[in-house]
Amino acid sequence: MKVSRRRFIKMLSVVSVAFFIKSKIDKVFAKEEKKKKRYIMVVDINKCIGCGSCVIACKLENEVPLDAEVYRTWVERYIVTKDHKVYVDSIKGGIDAYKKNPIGKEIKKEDVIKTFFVPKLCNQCENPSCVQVCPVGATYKTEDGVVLVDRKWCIGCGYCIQACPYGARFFHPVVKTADKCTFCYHRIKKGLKPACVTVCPTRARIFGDKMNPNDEVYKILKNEKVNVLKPETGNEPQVFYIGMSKEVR
Amino acid sequence: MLNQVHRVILVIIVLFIFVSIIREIVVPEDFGVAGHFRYSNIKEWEQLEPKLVGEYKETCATCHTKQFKEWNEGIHAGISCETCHALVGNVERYPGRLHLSNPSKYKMSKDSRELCLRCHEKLESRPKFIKQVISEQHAPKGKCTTCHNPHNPIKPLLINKYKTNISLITNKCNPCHVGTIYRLQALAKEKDSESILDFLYSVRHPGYSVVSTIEKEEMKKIIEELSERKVEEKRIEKKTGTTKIIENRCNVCHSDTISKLRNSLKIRGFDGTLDFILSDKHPGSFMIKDISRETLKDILNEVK
Amino acid sequence: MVEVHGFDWTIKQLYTYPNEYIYWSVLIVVYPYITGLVAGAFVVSSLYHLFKKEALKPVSRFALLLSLAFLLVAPMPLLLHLQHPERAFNIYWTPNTSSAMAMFGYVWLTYFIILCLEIWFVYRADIVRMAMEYKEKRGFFNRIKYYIYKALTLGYYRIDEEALKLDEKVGKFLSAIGIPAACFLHGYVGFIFGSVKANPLWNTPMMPVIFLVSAVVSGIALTIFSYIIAMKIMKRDIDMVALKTMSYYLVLFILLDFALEMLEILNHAYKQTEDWVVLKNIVFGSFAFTIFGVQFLIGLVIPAIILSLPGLTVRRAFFASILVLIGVLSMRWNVVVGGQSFSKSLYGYMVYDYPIFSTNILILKESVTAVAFLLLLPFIFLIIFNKILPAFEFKEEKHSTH
Repeated sequence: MKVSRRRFIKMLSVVSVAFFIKSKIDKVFAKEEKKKKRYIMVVDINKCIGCGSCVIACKLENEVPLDAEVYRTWVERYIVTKDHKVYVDSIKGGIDAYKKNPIGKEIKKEDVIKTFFVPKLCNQCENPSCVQVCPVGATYKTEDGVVLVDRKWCIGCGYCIQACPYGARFFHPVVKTADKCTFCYHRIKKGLKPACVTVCPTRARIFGDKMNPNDEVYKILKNEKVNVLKPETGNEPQVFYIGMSKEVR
Repeated sequence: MLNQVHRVILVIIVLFIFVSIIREIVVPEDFGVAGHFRYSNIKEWEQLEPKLVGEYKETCATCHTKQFKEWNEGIHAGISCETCHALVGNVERYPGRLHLSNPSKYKMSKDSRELCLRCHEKLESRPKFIKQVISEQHAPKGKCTTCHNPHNPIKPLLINKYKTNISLITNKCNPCHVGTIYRLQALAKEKDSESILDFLYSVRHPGYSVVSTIEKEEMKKIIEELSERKVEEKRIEKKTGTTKIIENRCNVCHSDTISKLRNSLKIRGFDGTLDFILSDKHPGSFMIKDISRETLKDILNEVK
Repeated sequence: MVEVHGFDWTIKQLYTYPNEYIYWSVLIVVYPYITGLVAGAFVVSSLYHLFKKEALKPVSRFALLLSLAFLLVAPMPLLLHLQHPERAFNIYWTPNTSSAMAMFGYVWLTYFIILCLEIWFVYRADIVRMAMEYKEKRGFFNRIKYYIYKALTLGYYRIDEEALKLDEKVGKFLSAIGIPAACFLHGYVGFIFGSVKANPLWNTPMMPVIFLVSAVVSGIALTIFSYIIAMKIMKRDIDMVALKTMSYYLVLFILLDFALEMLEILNHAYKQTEDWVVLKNIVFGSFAFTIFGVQFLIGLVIPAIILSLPGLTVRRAFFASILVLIGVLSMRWNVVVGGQSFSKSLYGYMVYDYPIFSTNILILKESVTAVAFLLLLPFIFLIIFNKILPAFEFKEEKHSTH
């Protein structure tokens, strides 16, 4: 087959234009991919010292009354004894820090084989069952993956509270609507860290965008072995735990 | 003429239209724009004002320069200002923004024993990487800030007053000894610096290997400075009398000084007790070095 | 102290998540109970209208009105329980299609429309007759009654044979779609609980079926119960054929209900999944009395025996119907409260210390007093309905003999 020079140049130009357009298109799409955010939190159980700073900070930041026994975030204490019995407590959600030792009183010190603190909060599930069951569309997932509650639209039926496997939701004692952790949406959108992350003295909580390869959490998810709470629910929780023991539920 | 079925259907249609009109009025326009929810609610959450500050270099450091510098150098550097100054305390709890808006009106809390113990109380569940004390035994009635600088806890208090590099001692000796500086100070009052050095750099001193990492000349300078200095002025109060002394001195570390003394009197006897509390075996001996033996005798008699 | 919903009546044992309380109180116990009564009563009526069980003719209209009276009360416990009752209509304005509860609103509405239409077509001839009768009567109340009837006729006064035939035809059609609607209504209540995957006691596909069958059981029992009382009040003779037929169906459904409810417990007990560590302490522990004592023995076994012994008397039927009503109520209790009596952490339990009366309005509205009022309310409605649309045909006969 003979190809004239003119024809060759024509073909070449068409191909190059096509490549140019394709690269442009790719760039546009790549940009959009980059824009997509997914906020997550990583909790390092080995680092939590049970000081309860996060609990108070959360209540102050989000105006949940300090003396009301409902918590957007709380800290649990697990004690595993020699006979593999598990003792769990969370005295006032840990807001006053853990001071007294139940070990030595109810549980013999030499019987304890393992004990640790676990901070808990809303898992901002990828597939949230609370959003699924809300009858009026008052709770929803934002584009960046945070589950929020519309305080002006919520009717206060409590169905989402029943549907949450993690006990993360409650009725706000003042607003009287369902309430939960928002990852401090007003802070993260201004480039700040959530209140609990800000005050954590040991950096047991790390917050970030898991879609951003330069973000700390991206690297943690890449390098560490992490686990989530109750994976069997299919909710795909987005709060990841490092060093989580099987006793944690 | 319409029969009954038509009429009923008509009623239902009219009701349906009526309800649809109400729905149009009641449901906000932005409902369902980007999913089944009220879109403007995202903005409502976004626009809330943060209360905790979070960025300290630009805010806190502008006024509290000294504290910021200390904090920045020490091991507490990673810990936010508000963890201690906004969450708990003896004043009131004010998240940082309020304090920034009006520093004299909204005072941040500070200096609370309860505050330090949130992290440093001895707990089985607490990871071992963090320093922990049993608060009932560790100066139960004292203030933490009497001995520790919370902004930089590795550095002892009053460090800036020393000319020599005193932190060498505190960093290396404190892991074994309580109140190294005061111990050395007391020692320097009785013995000359050479004999102290001989002891420190000999095998009799269990921490020999640690001390040998410090230059002998350096150490000599430190000890000489310590011997020149008086026992910290603050600690010595002019007031005397048994109860005053016990209250001001002993109770800083002991919660039940009197019963402890009585116990000691039973076991060690009168002179033994006296010798003990003045000896180096008693970590708090520096606290009472300035009180004459006679006064102490009186106190012991009274306690007895 | 700020009011935390559930704080006053929840006693926590061992470890529960700090936010866990018994959020769904005794109000939510009576909500499926009342809905169940609605569905059951409608089934009784349909047995006559659709399947031409002539024996049930005397109670067919009564059962319809009973159904409507309870249907009107059914959303009230929900409304009382809502933290923002003023926004209740949001369920209709912006229903979330993936939510069982939102769909329930529409199912309820559909059923409500069907029931109203059914009643209207059954009663249309009477309404027209009444309207004519009251047209001439003087007096304030008579005038009001006249206007009510006039409005109810929708301006259509034909009651010749052709029109009546159409009424009957439509009535039958509505009955036919009414039964699935009633079943859907109550099956859906079961689904509201059965779809909560976070709760191991609720999370079972059996839930809608169990709710449905127990609803029919309670509805028939309610019809027997209120029929006997109504007859005693009106000093009329009780139609023993109708009573025996209802008892027959009641026993049938009791047997089915017993089988299903037992199956569900055995299913949990045999599989012994992770959550059985707490469920066994609920089923065989704190709720053993209400489950095996009240729900099964008093509510199903004893009434089944009483009703199937030969020579049924009115007193026995009445007694058995009360037992069944108590039994089904306790079944609702066991599901709703039982399902909230353990922590989702599976490390602890919650005890429901239900308030009986309180001066605090927030607690009062979720107290036993409020519930007692709600359970009384349908009967007040029934009396009012009966004033406008007489439930029993013999009244009409009385008129014609005059």
